[in-house]
Amino acid sequence: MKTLLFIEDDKENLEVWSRLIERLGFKVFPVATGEEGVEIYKKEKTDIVFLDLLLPGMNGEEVFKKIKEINPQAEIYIISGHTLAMAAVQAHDIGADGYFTKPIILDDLKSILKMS
Amino acid sequence: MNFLFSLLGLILGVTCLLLVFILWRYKKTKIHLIWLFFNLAVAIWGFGAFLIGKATTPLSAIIAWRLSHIGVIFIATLFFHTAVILCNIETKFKKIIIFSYLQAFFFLFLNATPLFISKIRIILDSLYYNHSTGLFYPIFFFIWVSLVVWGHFELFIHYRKVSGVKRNQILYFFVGTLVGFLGGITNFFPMFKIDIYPFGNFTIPLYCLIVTYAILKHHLMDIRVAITRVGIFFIVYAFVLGLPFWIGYQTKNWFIPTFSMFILATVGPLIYRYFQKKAENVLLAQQRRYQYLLLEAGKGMVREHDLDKLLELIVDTIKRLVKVAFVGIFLEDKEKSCYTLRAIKGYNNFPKHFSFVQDNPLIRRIRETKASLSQESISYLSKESFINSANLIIPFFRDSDLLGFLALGEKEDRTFYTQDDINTFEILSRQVALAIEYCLFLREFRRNQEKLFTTEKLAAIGGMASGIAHQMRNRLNHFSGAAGELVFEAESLIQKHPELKQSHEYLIRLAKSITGNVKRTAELIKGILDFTAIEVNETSFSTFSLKEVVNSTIIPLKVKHDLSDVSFVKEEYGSDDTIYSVKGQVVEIIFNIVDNAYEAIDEKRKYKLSDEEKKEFVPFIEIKLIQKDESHLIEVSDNGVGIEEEDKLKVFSPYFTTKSSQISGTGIGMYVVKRLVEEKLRGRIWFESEYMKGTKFFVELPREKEAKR
Repeated sequence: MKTLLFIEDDKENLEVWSRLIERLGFKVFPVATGEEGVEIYKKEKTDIVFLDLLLPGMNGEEVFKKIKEINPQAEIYIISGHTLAMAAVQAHDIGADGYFTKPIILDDLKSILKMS
Repeated sequence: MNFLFSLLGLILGVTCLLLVFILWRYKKTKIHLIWLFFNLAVAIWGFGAFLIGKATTPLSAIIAWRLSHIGVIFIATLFFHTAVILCNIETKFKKIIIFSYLQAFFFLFLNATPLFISKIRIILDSLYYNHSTGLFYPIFFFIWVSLVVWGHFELFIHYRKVSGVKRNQILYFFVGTLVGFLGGITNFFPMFKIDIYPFGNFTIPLYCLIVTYAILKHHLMDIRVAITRVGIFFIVYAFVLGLPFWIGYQTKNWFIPTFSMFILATVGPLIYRYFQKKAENVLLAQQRRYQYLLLEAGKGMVREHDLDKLLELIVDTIKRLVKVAFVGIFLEDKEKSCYTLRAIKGYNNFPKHFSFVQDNPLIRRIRETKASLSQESISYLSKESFINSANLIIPFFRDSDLLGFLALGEKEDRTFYTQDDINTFEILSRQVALAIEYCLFLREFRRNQEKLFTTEKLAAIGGMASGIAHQMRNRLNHFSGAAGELVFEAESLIQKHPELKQSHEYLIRLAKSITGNVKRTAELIKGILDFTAIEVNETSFSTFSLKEVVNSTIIPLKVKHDLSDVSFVKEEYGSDDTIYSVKGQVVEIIFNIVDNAYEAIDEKRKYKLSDEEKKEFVPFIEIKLIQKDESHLIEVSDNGVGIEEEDKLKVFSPYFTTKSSQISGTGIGMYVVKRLVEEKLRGRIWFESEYMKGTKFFVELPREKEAKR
């Protein structure tokens, strides 16, 4: 079973989407802060990381760098609160493997996970 | 020696010279100048005749005859030219006019040789008269008479065509010159051995009287005031100088006359000016009144700040005060680069939105001369009947730009516009220009103020909107997740309890409709943000790879349009795939255009093609970068449904959409794209499209050097 680290500060969203991703056949590690996320990644080295860029405390970009320091090959998808176009730019600038914009749509999620 | 012949010659010479003098001082148009030369030619003949009459030897007679013919040779040519100008047919007769001048100069040359005038005989016992010998003089005479007859013929034809003041003018000119020439021609008889006394010489000064009457009464050539002024000048000086002379002559005592002449000559100019003013006030009383009122009204015009009302006010005031048939005002339309009729009074059934293009001969002439146009020039420059009926055109300028012009019809009393009128209108036109300019300035100022206000408002909304949008997206994300959960839950329940299938499938449908609504709401939020983004987005230019940007743009599109295969997207960059621009905005632009390309293909495939065609249809999108010297040209082409002709103008308008798919956008995508390209990136955007064939968008962005300029 593939593993997925889900870093998202909105607890309700974290809960519902983690369950959905589990239903799609992943073992999900849901965390609400960047610091926790980095800790979990150190231990688990999950196959995939979903990272909300707008986080309290350690921000998304720092988390991204930390994870890449741990594992340069880490497959990280960013979740952006911006428009699709802006998200594309963010992903491109940061060097992410892919991106989502909120609201995430289940079908989109499915096709992206299928491709990964 | 013949005293009578001399005297008549002298009278003719003096009267014509007087006309020459008046015309010289007041000449305004070409016709004045030509007619001036005509009178000069007649005057030369007159003085020549004076010398002929006084000749006592054949030699002095020959010299006098040759001198007189310097004038005679040109009389017919100049008359013909004047008549043709008066009839407005100068262009048509150009070649004949040139010929008539050439032949005149030819005979002028001959006149210096014995080939033209060489033989003198005495008629009526005392008069040394020219005797036509050789070939040239008869030829000259034939051409001379032909031109005179032809000129009168054209005047007659034209007389029957025109009406109003012009008709009277031509009649007087026709009768005047006919009388003159019928008299004048009698001078030729004795040359061909028909020994009748040239009695016609009596009638030549009559011509001067008739034409002068026409000038005074019917404003022929518009020099009525000039004649009055010259008349007063002569009367005053005849009095100032003549009275002392008469006293001296009567009393034979020259001391008092000389003294009084000295006094009177000093006060003469003052008296002249006093009478001139009085006479003009009487002659031009009505005119002066409206000129004064017009200038007063002009001051009031500056207070009107609404352009349309101002234009109405202008035409209305002029029409009322000057009492003209119609008044129209034309203003420059910068966008259409023409001069459009904006207000008119007194002209029924005028052509609405009548306008002149910038390089219309009429407009060009006004620009060149920067002066008003008289009726002759107007009818010469424009064949359009409406403007042709205008008697005067007064332009107004802002610096050297032609802002517009006034077109005035005939005055109701059918009198002509005098130089004083024109001066008044020119002062008025400066006030009009000022008033109009002020109106335009105010309008522009208000428009800018509104724009400024909107920009500030949008900036405020933009800041707020992005904050709210972020929150809303988080909420929507929850809806979306919850709806997904609902589907899973319902599906697993159906598996466990098949009897609940019907009711739970309904739940699934509900969940999917929630997802659909989430998408649409997200699009709406995007729309609002896009709209405000134009105003608030930061612009940080950098050099980046278009290829990478396109790649990261295409993936979400693939997801959005649920396409497992995007191999039909072709990309072509050449050796250099970098561009200098604002990355975020280029992505936005490419995203929207490629998004539309997908939609267009989808639309075609789903709704426009038959099953047969569907099988053969190979979708195609190409993104191409062409590096040009001063710009980057991005082309995005597709073979989708294309844009219908009637929609082409609306593509870049806000809220325009043809998408029939359920998740249609807000319709502001291309509007935002256009504004981003033009306002933020200082580039250009356009497209070519054929319905059912496809569309090709072009985005041209300036290179670094050009963008920084």
